[in-house]
Amino acid sequence: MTTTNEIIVRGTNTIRDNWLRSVRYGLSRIGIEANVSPGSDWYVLGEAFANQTVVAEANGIIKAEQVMPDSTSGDELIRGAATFGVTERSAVGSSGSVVFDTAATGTTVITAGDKLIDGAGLTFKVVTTGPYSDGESIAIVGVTTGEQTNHDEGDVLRWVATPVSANEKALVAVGGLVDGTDADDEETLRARWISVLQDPPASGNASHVAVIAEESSASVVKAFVHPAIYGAGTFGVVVVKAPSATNKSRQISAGTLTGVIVPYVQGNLPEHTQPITTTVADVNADVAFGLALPDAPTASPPGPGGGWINGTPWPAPDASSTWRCTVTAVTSTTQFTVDAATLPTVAVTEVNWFSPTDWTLYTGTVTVVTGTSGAYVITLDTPFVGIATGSHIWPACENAQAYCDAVLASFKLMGPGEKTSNSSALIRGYRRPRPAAGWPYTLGGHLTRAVTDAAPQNEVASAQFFHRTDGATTVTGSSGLVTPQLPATVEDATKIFVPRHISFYRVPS
Amino acid sequence: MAIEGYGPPYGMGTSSVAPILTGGPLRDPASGQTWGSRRIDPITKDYVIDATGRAEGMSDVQQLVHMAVATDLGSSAVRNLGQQLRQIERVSSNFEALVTNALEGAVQHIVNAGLIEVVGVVVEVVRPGVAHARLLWRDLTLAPDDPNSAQETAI
Repeated sequence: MTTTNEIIVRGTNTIRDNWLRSVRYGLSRIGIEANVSPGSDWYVLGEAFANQTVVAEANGIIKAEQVMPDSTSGDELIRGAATFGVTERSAVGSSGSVVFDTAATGTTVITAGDKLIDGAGLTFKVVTTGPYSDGESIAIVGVTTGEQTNHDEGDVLRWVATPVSANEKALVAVGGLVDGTDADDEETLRARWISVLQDPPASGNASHVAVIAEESSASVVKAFVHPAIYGAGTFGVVVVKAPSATNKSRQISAGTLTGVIVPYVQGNLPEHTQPITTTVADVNADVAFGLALPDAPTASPPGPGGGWINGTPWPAPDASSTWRCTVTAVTSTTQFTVDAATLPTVAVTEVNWFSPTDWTLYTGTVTVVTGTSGAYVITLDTPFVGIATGSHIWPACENAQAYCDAVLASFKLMGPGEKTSNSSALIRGYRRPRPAAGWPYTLGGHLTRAVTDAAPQNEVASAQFFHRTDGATTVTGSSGLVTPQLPATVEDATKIFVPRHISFYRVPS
Repeated sequence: MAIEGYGPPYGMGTSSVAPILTGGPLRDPASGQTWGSRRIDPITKDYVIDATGRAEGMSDVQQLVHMAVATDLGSSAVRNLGQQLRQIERVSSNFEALVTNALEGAVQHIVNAGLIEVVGVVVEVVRPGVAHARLLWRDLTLAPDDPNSAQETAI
């Protein structure tokens, strides 16, 4: 029996020549030496035949890719996933409250469905009809859907029909408007489909419970399950949301958790089971990487370029006593103190900072430097908006944005840690999917791999850890792991790492 | 083999026998020689079929030259096959040179293959806007004293 390992697709010339060989061989059998040389009628016919056939053969590859879950896209992805019961989740609007600001002395009746709009024209509506007094919070949800409906506390909405005596503006209350989520993108849908294939959900197993939790709300990008964590018949269910471009939190709001997810999970499981559904607790993680990048042409000895921008990248931790360089004092957005051991070169040294608030990569050139070793005060030509003590300052490199994006993408695919270290509970109750199968929870090799894989020109010869910390555990150098701390009890939210300070330094030679 | 009571094994009824074709495939009607190329009528641009339904033949080199001269460049599946006579828009003073270049360029790959040599191009302007051209060439696959070696292809 033959085994087909790969689809062979021929080019136009190969098809034509195969065809011409058949003609030549067929006529040769009756004693005719057919003329199949270039320019003959057979040759022209063969070329025309090959031009048509090559399209069909190439389409064979495309079709083969379309039926594989890891390479399909578009309608084929939706169709394939739906075959296994995995469908796209639609976008949802955010939810939260606004503060009612009115000059009326008593209460004013606000009707469910009354509309507010934000500065971008997105629409929200009041959830519950009732009498509201000045300063009271009014629950609202987004009529418009998507991540764009999320708002920070203090943002301004406006009443479409302002209630009598009320201010036309309504400020977003404490907690903000949260959990507005875009519809599943292709990669999210693909990940859910592959997860179903790898770990088929059935009969109330961990995978089945996870699928139920993920179906409950589009806010849930992934659910993790700890079987029998609290004893027989119990499930620990941990739900996380996807980080957005501007907010890396993985926590789902209490309102969505208790109002939507918990009842949905409970209602879809047999009555003799007890799911304990929580979201996660964000833990800020700081990671400093050491990269082996090409040296700049201005280095001594000169390098090929494409890596570090300066010949002498600054700051330069020695990777023995110092592992990263941080801001220890801030004078202004252009002037701050860095705990570097060596001097930068004025008007030459370029430094980077990846902001953990707006997730923007800032690059500036040092224009003035004062101070002493371990406390150099640098002045930059570019304001680093939002710089604060603890920020990592690192040397500029050609593809810094690609490295930062890769690390953020890798954090996006991280999951929460374990519920407990109790070995009796962990016999069954370790987290599913296990971190080795996906959604790792340690600050480990998946981060360095992401950086090397993301290098646009394969310029990262190697990536290693210089410094990792979550505030509780600090590891310097490549060895060791940083694992999320355990929650106080198995009923508490498990901890998940979210990115904060990210930096990249030259590995000393 | 016939099964008793069921007739011949070819279906219902009595099978008929097709007449055996006479002649031969790809045969040159003038010389009776069998060639490797199908004969193309220079007027109709179609294959020539003999009385028995077989394709008549022509010399391989003759067909190569005919295909090169009769095809508009870029109009067939082989994009670089053919001549560019249609690009000559008017009969100007260098008309003969343009036609010569177009025809010699069209058969260049046959010349490079060592199959023919171009003897010359005869251009005759019949009346304003109408011209005939004849490509004179020698078939190098035949002996120099072979009467068929000197050929011409008209367009």
